[in-house]
Amino acid sequence: MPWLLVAIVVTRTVSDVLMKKSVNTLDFDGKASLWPNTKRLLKKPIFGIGVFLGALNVMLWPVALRYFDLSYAYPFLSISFVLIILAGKWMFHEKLDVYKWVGIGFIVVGSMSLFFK
Amino acid sequence: MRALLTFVLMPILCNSFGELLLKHRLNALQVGGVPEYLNGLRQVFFVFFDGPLSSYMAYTLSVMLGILFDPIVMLSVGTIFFGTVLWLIAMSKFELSYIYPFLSLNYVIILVGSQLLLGESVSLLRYGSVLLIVIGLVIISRSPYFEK
Repeated sequence: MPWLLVAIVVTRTVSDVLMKKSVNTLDFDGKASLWPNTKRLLKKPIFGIGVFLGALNVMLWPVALRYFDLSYAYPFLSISFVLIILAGKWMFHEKLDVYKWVGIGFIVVGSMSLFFK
Repeated sequence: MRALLTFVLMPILCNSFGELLLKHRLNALQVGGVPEYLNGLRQVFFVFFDGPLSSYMAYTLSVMLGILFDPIVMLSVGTIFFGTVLWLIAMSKFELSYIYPFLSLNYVIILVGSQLLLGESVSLLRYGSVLLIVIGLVIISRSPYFEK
């Protein structure tokens, strides 16, 4: 059943990337912009797909916990931290400096070891 | 800085406190069983079906409804939803590679909260992992960030 964990990592990552893509062009500036932006957001198909994948991710998690120990399954979630950082570079042309790489290294090691017995 | 606190830190606090509250309440519901007012539902089911299956179905349904309509459960789910809305605004304002790592604060708060508020036992080793995460976050926060 490792496919289940792969599916969880992929749905989480793709969902967050689609969310970022759908809100990226919106400009939230003050209370007046809240409702027009929400209307524009709800009309975007990629936002809908992002919400769907996010919901799928939340529903797959308890299923995965029936097959794997929490301490085995949880470290896999850290993989999406790295994937998201890479997506920021490739899809949204963000600059990855040495702070981000070293920082994310600490976080991945920390969050992976958090759930080892 | 203000936007960073409102749209990045707030949703993380909402999410972790919402989850702690949800877990706390679900623990209590499991101990306390089904709320009194849902016992009526079981009676209705017995009118239509008979036998062991119907009592099982009625029990499952009443537990589910009891969880869904529990005010504390609603409050915690509402808190998590509010945090998600703020997080969407954060994603529109900041770089993904800058704010996303801060989500790992969730692990830290939930770990400390599950020991202090839920009474779960947390080993010293785990606080070592928490230290690593915090060091990582401090390093990332040194990176220059842009606000739209």
